[in-house]
Amino acid sequence: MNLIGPKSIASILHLVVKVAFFLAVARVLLLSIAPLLPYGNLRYVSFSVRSGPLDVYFDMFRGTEARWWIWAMELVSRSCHAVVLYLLMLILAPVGAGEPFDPKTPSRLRMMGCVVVIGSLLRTVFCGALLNWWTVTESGAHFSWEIDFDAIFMGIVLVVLAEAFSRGYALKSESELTV
Amino acid sequence: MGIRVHLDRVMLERGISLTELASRVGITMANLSILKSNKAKAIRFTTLEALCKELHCAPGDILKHEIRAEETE
Repeated sequence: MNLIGPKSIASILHLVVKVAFFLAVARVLLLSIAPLLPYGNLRYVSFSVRSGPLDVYFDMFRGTEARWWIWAMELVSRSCHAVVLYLLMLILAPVGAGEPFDPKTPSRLRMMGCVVVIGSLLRTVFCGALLNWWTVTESGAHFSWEIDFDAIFMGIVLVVLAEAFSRGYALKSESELTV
Repeated sequence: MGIRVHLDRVMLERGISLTELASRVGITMANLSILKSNKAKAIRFTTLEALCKELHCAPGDILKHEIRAEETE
């Protein structure tokens, strides 16, 4: 089985990412309307907030006053996740069709890198600045400031890959016009 | 680009069509058309050699360096 092209691993990956993207969108939509749903049906809704060494679980409707911030943070985080999946789906589409050097791939990779870094920084700001103040007073849990270096590293890698794809596309277009 | 391809003029002088030249040189009509219309970014030595052989000319008859207006300023 080929790695790229029609009926290849890349085309299967494209399909898998497409399904994951629609599931992520459904999750964002469900999360965005969660506060409007009746209390009784949402007892099971809880969000995991991870920052530093602590994993703290909150029940959205029975938890602390921080619940709205947690909800907003989860919404932003899940939206970033959906955007990354959407961009990955767009990048994999031409690869699955056998054309890895698409003119739009570099800008998509750059955007993906920015979304990964910004999403991670937003999460850090939410956890570190806002939740710290609320949860210390209300639940006793403590959040430490911790920057997600993995996400920043991933963002840099994606931007570098974008430049590599940009040069690859330039080479490809030049070779196409070589007689 | 400062290099201009004068393939059409040489072809006219030799009385050879684009289709015939493409088949003799062994490149596609599309590629020869790209070369003729000055859209090509590069030309292989093998292609140039085959063109010169079929058209009985030198590379300088096909390719000319033209100084652009912005280069003279």
